Amino acid sequence: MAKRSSVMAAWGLALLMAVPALAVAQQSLRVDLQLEPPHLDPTRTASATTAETTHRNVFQGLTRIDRHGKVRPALAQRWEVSEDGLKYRFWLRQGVRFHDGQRFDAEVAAYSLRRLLSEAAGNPQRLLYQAIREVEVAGSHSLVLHLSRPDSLLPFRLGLSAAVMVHPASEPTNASRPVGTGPYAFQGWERGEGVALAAFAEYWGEAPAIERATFTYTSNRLELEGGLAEGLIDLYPDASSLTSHLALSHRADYRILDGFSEGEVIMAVNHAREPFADRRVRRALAHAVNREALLEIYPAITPPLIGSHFSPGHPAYVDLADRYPHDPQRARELLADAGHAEGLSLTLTVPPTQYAELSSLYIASDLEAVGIEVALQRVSWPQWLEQVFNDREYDLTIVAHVEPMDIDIYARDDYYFNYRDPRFQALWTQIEAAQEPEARHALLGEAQRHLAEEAVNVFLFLKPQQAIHKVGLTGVWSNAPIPAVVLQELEWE
Amino acid sequence: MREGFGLTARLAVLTALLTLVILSTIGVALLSFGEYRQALSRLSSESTRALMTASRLKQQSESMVGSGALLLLADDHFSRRQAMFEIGDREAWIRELVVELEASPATQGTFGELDETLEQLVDNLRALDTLVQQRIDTQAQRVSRGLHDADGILRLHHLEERIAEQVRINRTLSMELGVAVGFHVNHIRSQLDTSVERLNEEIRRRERVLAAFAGVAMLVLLVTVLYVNRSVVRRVLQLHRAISRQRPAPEELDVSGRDEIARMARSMQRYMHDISDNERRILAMNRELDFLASHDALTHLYNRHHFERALDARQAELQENLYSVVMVDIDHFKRINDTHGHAAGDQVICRVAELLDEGLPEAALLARYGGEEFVALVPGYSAAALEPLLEATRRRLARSAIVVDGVSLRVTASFGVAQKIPAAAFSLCLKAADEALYEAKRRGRNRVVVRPLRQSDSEGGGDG
Repeated sequence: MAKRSSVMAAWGLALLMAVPALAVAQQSLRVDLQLEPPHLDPTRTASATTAETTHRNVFQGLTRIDRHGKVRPALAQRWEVSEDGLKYRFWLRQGVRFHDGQRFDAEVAAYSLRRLLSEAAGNPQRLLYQAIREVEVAGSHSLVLHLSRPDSLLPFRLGLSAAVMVHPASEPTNASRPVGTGPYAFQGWERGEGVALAAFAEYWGEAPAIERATFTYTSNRLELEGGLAEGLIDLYPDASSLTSHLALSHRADYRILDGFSEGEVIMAVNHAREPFADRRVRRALAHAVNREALLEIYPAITPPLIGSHFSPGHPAYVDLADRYPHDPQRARELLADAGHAEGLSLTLTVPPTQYAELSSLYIASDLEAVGIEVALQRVSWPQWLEQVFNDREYDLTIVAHVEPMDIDIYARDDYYFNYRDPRFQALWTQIEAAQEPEARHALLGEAQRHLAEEAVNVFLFLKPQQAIHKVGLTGVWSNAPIPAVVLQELEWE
Repeated sequence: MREGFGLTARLAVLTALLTLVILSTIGVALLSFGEYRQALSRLSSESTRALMTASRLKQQSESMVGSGALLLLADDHFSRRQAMFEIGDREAWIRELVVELEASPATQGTFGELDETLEQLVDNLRALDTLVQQRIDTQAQRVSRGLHDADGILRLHHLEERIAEQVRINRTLSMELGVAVGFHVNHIRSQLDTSVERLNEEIRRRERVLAAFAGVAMLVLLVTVLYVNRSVVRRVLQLHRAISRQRPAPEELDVSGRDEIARMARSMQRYMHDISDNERRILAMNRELDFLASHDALTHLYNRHHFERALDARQAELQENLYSVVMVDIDHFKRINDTHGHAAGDQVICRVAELLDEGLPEAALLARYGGEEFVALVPGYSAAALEPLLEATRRRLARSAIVVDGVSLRVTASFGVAQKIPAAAFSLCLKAADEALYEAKRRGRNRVVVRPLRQSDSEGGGDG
């Protein structure tokens, strides 16, 4: 008996000595994203990279959207819709605390939602929640939302990063020091070193398997591929257009998943700039771009082409991919018709994403082939957000709109395309008012067609999401229905 | 009581000292481990990282040549732009790496030269890009205008010359960049070597310190052992020896000092003194008892029991040598007793014994044989030789008065003497002396009668 227990003790000791060494290697994670976020408050930026870093990790919403795009309970345990669809009642989870110790309750939730709706707070997705007329606190952990019109997508929208719950005490500093209710608490952000997160000890749910995670941001393709080649990166959510894709797919230590995001990659056109007010110029652009050839930037996947700003996964999707076939001759004719027979001189502003950089090379050649002189202007992500998204100082740019179901951006008066079309706005009002899915889908189809006919932007393809991750890391999302890297679902084998 | 804990206190001090030295050793070891860990993590996080960064920098600097070649080979704008993208990416990364290196504590010196060379190189590549762009456009124009475009050919020729010039400059600049980066790589590497060497030196130094501490610990241990041996074990053994002797000798005990063992020694010494005192008392008592067993309590002469035992012991001697036996009896003793009391009788007996003891030769064995009867064995004397001595004693007695309670008493005694009867037992001689005494009494007392020698004496045995 004594011998046995001493053997057990020896084993215990051996385990004690062995476990921490293993644990150090297996409980931390480095996720690399391409774009450095402008700041870390997802309620104040449209930049998906902020959401990818913080949403579902640091911040949580009343609902969440799972890896299949389904709505699930999060900070709201359950909800009920009134028969007329105008009243949502949410029952909130009890005993939830923010990382700074503040309590989460109906007052805090109401504060977050009112802030979301307030124009002054500057939430770029505010319009998604326009249906909410009034936020009513119906108990310490009960909340009633009164709608001005039915919105069956409301629970889905509440699961987006724009609608995360914030506390009034920490809200002013969330941009630099985010404080949420999520499984990970923010540890620090050093430029160049990335954002450090650590499992939050008082998290209300199950403790995550990975204790520490670092988000680094590498927009330089060479540096990124160098980092992957050296094995420094554990997870990179979008390896689709990497030059070393093939080499990496043969590596024993990496695995590449095939998947798609909800992101429409478009060449956005600044309608405020002179030549683009003319629909013929826009159509000429659409005919000039050889989208089939463009897909060469993806060595291992063929994403679907799109003809409008809509995801092929949606039931209301209308296939308009062939609306503007590649036709340089037609493009030249359209340009000549618009008075640009002598050609045009344009600047294509390229953000530092792989797909944008690679696409820009193809598109520049395509446009030059129809007599448009193109200057490629490479900008950093903050520069892009400042210059293109805020100041609208651009002719053309290439960007992916990864927010799901965001066709409403064309109905906004003030968006970076500078596209204002009363006809589309009227259509959108109708869509919002539509109760029946069939009617709604029909109207959505019409909206897609309208955007295609008007050639508002050059719609390119649905952005693939081929995550590359270390073998042994499980739980990586293969599709990206929303921009998020959900650390909580990851685990080292 | 305070003086009693000296040993405990001193042992406690020694043990504490030993513990202190051991703890210090462990402390130094732990401190050293901590410092090495720090040094190692510094090495890994700063120097190694800097070295990795510098290696990447060198690799990227060298790859610039390849990117330049890509640009040179570009025959359409797509390839040209692609090359320029790559050059841009490389430039951005190199700048990032330079910033990182500059911020690293593992590097020193300025990176200005490197920055400048990089700037020149990128400017040069941009100029090359413009030339390549012109070349592509000129080529395109030539194709559209037909093969005999002399002006185009000339321009193309000029362009090629200028491109070649740019490429040469490019090569020089790339080499300069490589050299500039190499300088830093080398600096970091040599620093790394120095750090490792320093760390090694520090480890060696600490090893010596630890060894010294171990030595001190051993020394303290040795001192403790010696101290325990000297002040405890040896003293306990000494105590053990002292009390294990056949005859414990308390004066041999070392009772000096004020500690516990000294206290114990003092207790033991006291105890041993008590024991030997008791022993002495018992011996004295024994001697007294012995005396009482062989002597007559009144006269202090030997008693009859001792006399007979002594004869037994001297049997062999008596057979060989001449001797005589004397029997003495106080005359009319019963009358003295009856008249003057037992005390007076006792005094008379004592006086007679005194006179006999004085009168007989030194070697005589004199004993009180009965109430008023004495016997003496006188070795070496014939009866004839003895007779005058006995006569003198008889006369002294008869002449001297014995004063008892103020009354002067006249006492006489009768003496029977027999010489050794050859080849006969002593008992016969004694009997003969007794017979002679009887003869003296019969003849009127107060006289000495010597048994005459007979013919039969020499034949052995006797007729009684």
